[in-house]
Amino acid sequence: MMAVDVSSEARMLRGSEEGDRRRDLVTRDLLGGNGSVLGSTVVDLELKVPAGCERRLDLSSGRTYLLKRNTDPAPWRYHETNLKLLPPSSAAHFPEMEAATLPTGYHSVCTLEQVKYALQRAGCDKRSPAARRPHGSPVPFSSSTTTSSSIKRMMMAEREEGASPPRAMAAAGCPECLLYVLVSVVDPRCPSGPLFAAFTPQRRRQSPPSRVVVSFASNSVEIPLSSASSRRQVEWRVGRSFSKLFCQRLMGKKNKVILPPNLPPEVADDEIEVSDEDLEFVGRNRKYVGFLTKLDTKSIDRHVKRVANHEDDELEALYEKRNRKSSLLRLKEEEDKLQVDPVDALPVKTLDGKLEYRTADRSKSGDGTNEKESATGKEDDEKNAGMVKLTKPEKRLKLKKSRKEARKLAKVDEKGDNGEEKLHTEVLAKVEEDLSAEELFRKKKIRLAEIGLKLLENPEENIKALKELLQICDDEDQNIVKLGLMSLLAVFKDIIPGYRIRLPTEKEMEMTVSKAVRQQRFYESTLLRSYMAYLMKLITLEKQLYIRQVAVRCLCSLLDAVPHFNFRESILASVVKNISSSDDTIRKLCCEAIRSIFSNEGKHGGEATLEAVRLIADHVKFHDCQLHPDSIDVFLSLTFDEDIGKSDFFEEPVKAKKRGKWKNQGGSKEVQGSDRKKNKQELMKKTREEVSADLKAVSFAPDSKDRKMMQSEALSAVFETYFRILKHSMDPSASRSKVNAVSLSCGSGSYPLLASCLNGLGKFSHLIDLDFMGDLLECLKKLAGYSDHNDGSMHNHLSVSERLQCCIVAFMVMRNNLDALNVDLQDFFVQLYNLVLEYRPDRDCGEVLAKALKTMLWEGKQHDMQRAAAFIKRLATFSLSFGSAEAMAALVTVKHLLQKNSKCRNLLENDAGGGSLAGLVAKYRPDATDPNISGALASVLWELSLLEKHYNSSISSMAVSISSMASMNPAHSQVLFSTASPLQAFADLSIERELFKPASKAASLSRKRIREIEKDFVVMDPDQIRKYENMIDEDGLTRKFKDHFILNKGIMENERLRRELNHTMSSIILYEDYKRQKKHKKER
Amino acid sequence: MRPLDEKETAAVFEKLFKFTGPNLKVMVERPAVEGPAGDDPGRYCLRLHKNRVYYASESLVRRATSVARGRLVSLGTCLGKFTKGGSFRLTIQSLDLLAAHARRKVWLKPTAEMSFLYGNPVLKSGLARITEGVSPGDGVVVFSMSDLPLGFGVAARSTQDCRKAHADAIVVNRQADAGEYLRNEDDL
Repeated sequence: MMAVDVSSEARMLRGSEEGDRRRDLVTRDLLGGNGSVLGSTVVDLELKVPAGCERRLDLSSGRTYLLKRNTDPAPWRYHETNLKLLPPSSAAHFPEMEAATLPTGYHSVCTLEQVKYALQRAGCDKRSPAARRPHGSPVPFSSSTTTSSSIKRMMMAEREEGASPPRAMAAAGCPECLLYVLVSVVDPRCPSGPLFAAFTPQRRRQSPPSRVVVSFASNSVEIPLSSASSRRQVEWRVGRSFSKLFCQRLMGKKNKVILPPNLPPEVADDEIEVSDEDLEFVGRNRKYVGFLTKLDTKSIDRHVKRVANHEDDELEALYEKRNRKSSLLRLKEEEDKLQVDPVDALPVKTLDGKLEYRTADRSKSGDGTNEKESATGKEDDEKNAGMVKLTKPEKRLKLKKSRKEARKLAKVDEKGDNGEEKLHTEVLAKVEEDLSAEELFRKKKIRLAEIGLKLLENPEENIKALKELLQICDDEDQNIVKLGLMSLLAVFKDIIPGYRIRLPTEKEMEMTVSKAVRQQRFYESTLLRSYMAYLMKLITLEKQLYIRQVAVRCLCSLLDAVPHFNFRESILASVVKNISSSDDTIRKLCCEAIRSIFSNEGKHGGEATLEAVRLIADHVKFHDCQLHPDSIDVFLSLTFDEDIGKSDFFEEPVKAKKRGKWKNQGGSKEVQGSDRKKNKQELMKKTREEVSADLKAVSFAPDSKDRKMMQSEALSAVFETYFRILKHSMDPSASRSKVNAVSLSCGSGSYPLLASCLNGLGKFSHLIDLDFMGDLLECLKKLAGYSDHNDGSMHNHLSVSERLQCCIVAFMVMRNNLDALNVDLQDFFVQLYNLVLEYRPDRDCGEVLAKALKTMLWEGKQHDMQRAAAFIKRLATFSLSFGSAEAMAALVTVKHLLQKNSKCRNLLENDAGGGSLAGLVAKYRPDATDPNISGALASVLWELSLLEKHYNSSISSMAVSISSMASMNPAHSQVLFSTASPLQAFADLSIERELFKPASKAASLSRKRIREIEKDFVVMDPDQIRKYENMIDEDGLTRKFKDHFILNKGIMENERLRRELNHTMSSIILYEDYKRQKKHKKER
Repeated sequence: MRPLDEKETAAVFEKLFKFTGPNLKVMVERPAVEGPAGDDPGRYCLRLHKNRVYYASESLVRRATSVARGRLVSLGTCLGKFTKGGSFRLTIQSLDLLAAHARRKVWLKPTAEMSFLYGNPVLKSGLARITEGVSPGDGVVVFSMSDLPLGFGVAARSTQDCRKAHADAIVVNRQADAGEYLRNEDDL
């Protein structure tokens, strides 16, 4: 069996491989040690399985072997677990240095939990060694490779789903999470931890790379390699340096003495979580865990106590010596145990065709697993740690033997070597690239900083450096590109002048100019050119996924910082394009940038505003109003100054007067003056005009006329957008077809822009031209759901809030233009009347309703009596069924209406019918859609008497005050005129509602609200007093109850004590009786 | 007295529709106020009597049948009359009915009320308030500021035009006003 091990070892070392490389993961589970290995034979390449034998995988050696079974032969494959031992110090971190080097592409994954559990199992097995002896395979037999290891492997493969091609991956121990993880060679990074290792793969026979870099948590150590140094040494060194780094990290110090490898932190058994999967697995394969009995604690101790502070070479020497000793010891031991099992042992057929009968020792299985264990090594328990030592000598031995066998297998190896060489060089190149990339990155970063500093120091001289910066931005590395873009942004922000650069024309170029001017020209042209290039780059990069945000951020901040400079149009265009991006951050950035343009008009004199507004309008048009509402909300930050032209308007006549005077004077002079004088004057006039024209051209701020023009154009563009949206949302056929697309893109209703559009219309309603108003109202009316025919389809696609908003906007538009004509918006009243019924407190925004009540009913000047009555009735009914805030708003409105329309007060009287006022309609019809024909005057406001019993005190008091209005003299009404609007009432009550909740929110209340609360307390004084009275009563009651209970308890206690006393007394008497009787007996 | 034939009904409804719009349905279908106070109060119906169209409840019509045709002067509310040419004209008596169901309304300033009641058209200067959405040719009911119906007419210009119109511009062409009760007492 030793031979088997050795041969496999040799194969691994030499990197032998089969023709077909597999990318499977191989679990380096410790659960090998299958008892049935005994006597089995290792099967070599090209060997047919003999009849009556079965191929099995030996978990210890990682190779298949033949078992005497009746199974049909199947194509043979190696199963190498590529187990390889490292010096104990490194084993913990790099159990699998070779994983990357092995061309077969096996990757091992072994979790700490598995090891742990295995150890636990071992503990159990020690107690019952009998149970440990495995007989036969615990795993169901299958034709080829379904052994425990392969099962596990599959499991692991599932876990590590994204296992990339073998070349790019390697397994390594992560010191952070204490797991063996698969890492890519290019970017050695634990998925959950910091960067921890980069290592170059190598082969023994090939000329190895000159150095290995081990890096861990931003520290790195380079290990120079001489070609003579053996692979083992290299591995060991790498391990050492890694552990050193690890120690440094742990200690938080640098340049510490090399310590002997740390024992793993002691972890209590119960602290380690064993994954269910592993548990299950081990549970199924109990027999595999027998190896743990053979732990050599001595050697561990020896190893761990190794002296620190030695030179590496010395240490190595010491190490090797010790190894040799122990290996000898081991050998003896093993030879003792060697036994031949004639039944199970199968001959090994080597390549030459020789058959070798092997003997196997019992400890084999244990050793094999130990070996594995050690690989995953440096685990938590002291028991476990022993294996690290154990396996070392064995490995030595194997090495020797493997060399022998290697000679035999030379042919096969030859083939594999070639292929392997190539792969190695490839990986090598990759890793080197990776390493150099990091360095490059650092270098480039430094370079960027240098250039940036230089540019900021003296932009005139170093303007050429801009080009270099731009070139850096062409880098492949995206991080570099990002950094480059950002630094360019900073530079440009700083060096861009406060004026627009105009490149000299050809004529001007031809003219001879002074050196300074030439320099300035050169500077400006370079700046402009590189700025253009930068913008182009930004605009192209904007389409790339990763750099997109950076590019947009750059564009936005440029737009914010230098809106006056050249190429503003292109920046604006690209920003507006992104304004409705689905990415939240990008959209917000763009919106902010455009808002800043709108609000800081001083920077660019309003031109950019106009451009932006136009671009947005076009954008909306292009996308058929299917955008994010944010893109329209930016309009809200527009400010239109109505007084721009006015001051000039007043000035001009004065000027004209002056001019006229002057002219007159001139005319009088003219008569006197000669022709020459006249010419002179004309010349002067001309030059003056020229100068003023130049001044105008040079001065940055446009005059008021231009500004006014721009403003009006911007305004018209805004309204065009708004009207487009309205029109779009009115067109049901268009909307229907696009509803799907919208719901996909926005998900906020079929008309994402409508709400913000209505907001904007409300804000700018005073600026709407009268000509538009008719159409606008028509639009709004349709949107609000009004139809000329009652039978018309009433299924409106807008929500109640939106429709209410339409009504509000119509009213606001109307009110702001009230000076022209007092128009009665009856249709909208009808709408409101119906919408009140459709309102649902949880679905719709109560504030919108309150606002509608305020703008339409509360603030309205005149009302029809009928209509007012209808609204009063409906609102009273409405307030019965909704929350207190809405009810309060409605009641405030009702009160207001009743105060204004004294005739409606007969609603408050008790007789139905309404008398003479009822008009043609003698009966109240609550279902009428038109308030005018509902006949509400014929009804009685019985709702108020119900509302007087409302749980909310403010509402009930309001209801009381309304119902008391019946007896009120009309003359008195003015005195009691309420001042609170429905909106205010709504807000107050909704605040109150919040207050009803526990006081956790109270802390966040603003001072204003607190003041309001105080007011409330004043208002509710009687209630408060009543409450206090109640409290006092309760106190008295509780006190009385307490007294009563105490008294009661005292009595009970007393009784109980007495009973006890009686009991003991009687028992004592009994006892005395008994004694007496006894005495009597004795006496007798 | 007879029910209206199809042509006549169409003419009457067309005229009424100008003023009431969709409320016409309500006007025709509303339950009768007078008549037997039972479960079924009956409806209103239109009757033609001596070229005049009357709007009366069914019970009233039934009772009116007992009066000889020559002796029956009027029943219910007179809506209007058919001219000799065959066209239908609304008369001032229909004002209450129209006012209750009107869609387009115009409110007059107190100073302009008398002028209107003397038979003059409504001028822009006298206009206190106007319903939104009036288009030229619509029937409009004229109210005083205290919501008292004064008469009705036909809008001469739309609400939008009214804004920009000159103060002397005619807004509503009068068709009937309450002053007719005095001026044309004999004809009514």
